Amino acid sequence: MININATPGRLVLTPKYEAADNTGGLLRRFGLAVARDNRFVCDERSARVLVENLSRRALLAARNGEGPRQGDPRLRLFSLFICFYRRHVRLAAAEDGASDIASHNYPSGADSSDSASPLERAVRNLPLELRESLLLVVLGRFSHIEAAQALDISLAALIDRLARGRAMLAAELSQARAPSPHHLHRPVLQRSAPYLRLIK
Amino acid sequence: MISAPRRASIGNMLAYVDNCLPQQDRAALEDRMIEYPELKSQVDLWLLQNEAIRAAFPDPSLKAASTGGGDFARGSFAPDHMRWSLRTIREGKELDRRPHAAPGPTGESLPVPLAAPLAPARQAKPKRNARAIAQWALRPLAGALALWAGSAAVFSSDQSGAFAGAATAAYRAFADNATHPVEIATSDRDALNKWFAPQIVRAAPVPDLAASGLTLLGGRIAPGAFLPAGFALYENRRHERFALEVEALDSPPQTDVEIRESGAVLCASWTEAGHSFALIGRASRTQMMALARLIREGQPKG
Repeated sequence: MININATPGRLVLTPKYEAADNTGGLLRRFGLAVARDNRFVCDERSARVLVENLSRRALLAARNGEGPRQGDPRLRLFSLFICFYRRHVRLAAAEDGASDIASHNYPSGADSSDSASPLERAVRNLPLELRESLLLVVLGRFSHIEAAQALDISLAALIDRLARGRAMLAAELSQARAPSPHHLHRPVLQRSAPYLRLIK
Repeated sequence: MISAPRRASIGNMLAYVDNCLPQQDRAALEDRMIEYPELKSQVDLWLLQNEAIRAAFPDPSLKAASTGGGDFARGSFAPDHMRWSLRTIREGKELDRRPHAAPGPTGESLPVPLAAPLAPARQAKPKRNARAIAQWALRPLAGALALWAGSAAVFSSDQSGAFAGAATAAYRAFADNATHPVEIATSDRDALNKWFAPQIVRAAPVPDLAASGLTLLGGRIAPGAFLPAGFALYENRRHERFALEVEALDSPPQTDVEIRESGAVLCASWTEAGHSFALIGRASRTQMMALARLIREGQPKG
């Protein structure tokens, strides 16, 4: 596990952390899922380079005591990563002439020919604020309170984002009519009639 | 936007799906889901979304291990130079002495530090005295003694661990199987005992767990640690399934209940009356202990 040594805010990574905790693996998994956005980062290699760079910076910044003071050091690492990633996207968007990075729904197209599954494409097409909220909870396995802390938003805002993200994901998948996984397209809430009919 | 499902808040449902709802609220929501199937459908959909997302974005180290992903794919967090820096942090040395170590204030990309790992600090050679030499000579002997003393415990725990592992695997394979969870579907214990008798050596009687609210669904033969074992499947009101696997052993020592966790599945295993028992289910530790106690009390002593 990660712990904080006598110097406040200084991150100490024990050998156990490197070998068993796999926070790094988790951060990279989250980072890769967030960074492939079909707009600024369209291929696997660019995403890997970006994520490696950002995760290294997040680790160094966490060691230097940046980021939220309270909470799990793992959470601090993710929070810093998100902060650095947003800064990166903001710079890239400024170069591109876009104004609002958070709510912009990036068009897919560059990614449509690759081997990404419909679900991957749907996740990448989510707006950044929804994508990072959803992935932080699902891939990072943070609790809602922790995820809200990492994103620096209220719990209610996080729940709203999660609900919107999940709804958009389901809608996009049903729109794409992707064959796999087929059960995600089922409009469960709208179903009124039972599947089995009683035949007399 | 999702229309707010009736009779439960979206926040609670999302927290349930993301496994951060307190146990008490969890149970309350599960009760409501039994009452209102549309809530369960929504929650199931979100659970499936979670599983699909996790499957779509696998751990890059695992993914690249099969495809040869290079430096990025290694299990450790950082590249070589970073691993070195982590070591220096642990040893209390200052990382900032290295060139380009800290991130720039404007967030520009960092050049990769080229510093090589430092050579370990030179230390004075320890003086060898008679005590140190004796310690050095006796160390292998002490190690061998410890190995010999610990081997019995290790091997016995290995044996029960193997059975618990086999039982958990059988639970995962059969209990959640919607098509053929059991070979013989019956709620009659006598019928199941008769069915087990010719197929299993010294089959133990199937216990009655109706007092705990568990209904017998049936049974099947499942692999044990050494022999075929009896696998009885039960279900509670919430349709949560519990399995009891029993394997006959040759005069094993009696052991207390030991609980092992394998993800969300708990396995309570013990040995008694010439049999190894493993109770498997998705329940709390307390509930598993209570069920195990009930089964132990109902078994004939021998």
